[in-house]
Amino acid sequence: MPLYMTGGQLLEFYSDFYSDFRMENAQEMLDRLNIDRNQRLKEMSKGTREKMQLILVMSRKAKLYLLDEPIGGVDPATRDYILNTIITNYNPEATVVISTHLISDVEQVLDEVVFINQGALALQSTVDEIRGERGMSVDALFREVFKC
Amino acid sequence: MLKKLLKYEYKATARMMLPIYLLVLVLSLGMRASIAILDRDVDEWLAVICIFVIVLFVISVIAVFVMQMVITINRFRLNLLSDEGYVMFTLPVSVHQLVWSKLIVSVTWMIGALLVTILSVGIITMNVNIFLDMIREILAALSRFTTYYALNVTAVVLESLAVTLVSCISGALQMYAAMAIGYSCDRHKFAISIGVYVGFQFVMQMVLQVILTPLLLNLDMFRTMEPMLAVHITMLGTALWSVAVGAVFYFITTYMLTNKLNLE
Repeated sequence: MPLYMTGGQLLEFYSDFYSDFRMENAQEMLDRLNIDRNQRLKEMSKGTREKMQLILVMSRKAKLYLLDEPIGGVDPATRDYILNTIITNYNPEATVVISTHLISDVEQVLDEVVFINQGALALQSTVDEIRGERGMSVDALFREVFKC
Repeated sequence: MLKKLLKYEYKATARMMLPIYLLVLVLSLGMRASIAILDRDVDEWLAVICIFVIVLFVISVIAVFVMQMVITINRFRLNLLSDEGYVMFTLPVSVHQLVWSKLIVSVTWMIGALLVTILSVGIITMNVNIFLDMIREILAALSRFTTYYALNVTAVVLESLAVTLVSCISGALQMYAAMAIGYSCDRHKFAISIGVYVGFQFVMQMVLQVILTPLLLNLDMFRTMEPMLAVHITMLGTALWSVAVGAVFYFITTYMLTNKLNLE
């Protein structure tokens, strides 16, 4: 991210280049996460920068969102907010792909799960199937499949 | 989209270039005052201050050009080839637009630096006798020289400016191409870029030598030629050379950024 910009400038930058950028949503999220829009990205902590990245991505009205470890560097409370943001911004036509190691944290928002081991598909299933037929959480199943 | 890129590129660089332009102009006023003061008999410590201001002015002029160079390198390196590259290369713009936006802004600041320098010399020399005499002498010498060789000074000046502009562009592209190659490596990115830059320089010298040797062997051709024609040919040759190497560097840059981008 351009570190010399402030949070507010970065939002303008995005809305300038992406026609599907929803400025209002972005500003609302910025306020809710208590990010000062006049603070330069250079001065932000790693966690705050990650929040910024997520705000920028989720503020676009896209059909497909690819989130790579979106909640890695943030505290549990923010994690919940981010997951909520992902769900509430959810557009019925859009797909959100989250790749993560923090399974139990994201479990509540998942519809379908893909386990990948060394680049090979280890398991693909819906969450309902895992819970209903196997009677376990995705996290527990993961621990079983990848047992060392 | 190029317009939008340019807007943000100017914004990002103006905050560094404009203050230093201003500094040069302010110091040129100081230099002018210092010369006027030194022209009279003054006590020692005042003279020291005046000389100090003059030295500062000279340093500031050098600093403008160094700064322009640093911006040319750093905007490319940091904005495109470091972490920021993830944002820039995912924008709905082409690699060509990205390179052009950097190039246009860099050349703008270069032209700005030249103009500020000329303006500051103007400020210093305006109505200052020593300088006016000096300039009058230079102009007189130049006019004697031009009448002797039947040169068209206006044409020569305009052509030199055009050649300067074209070489600035190809010079910037040479740095871009060197960095585009250096930063495609996994380690020692900056050091490799410098090595590649030097390598380019070496290859260019070799090629130039191969092209120029047959010309130099036929120097008689130039001796019989009208001086003005010789100037035109030299200028045109220099410009064509710059355009040719600039095009090669542009191709290398865009090719590397498209196919071999290796962000941190």
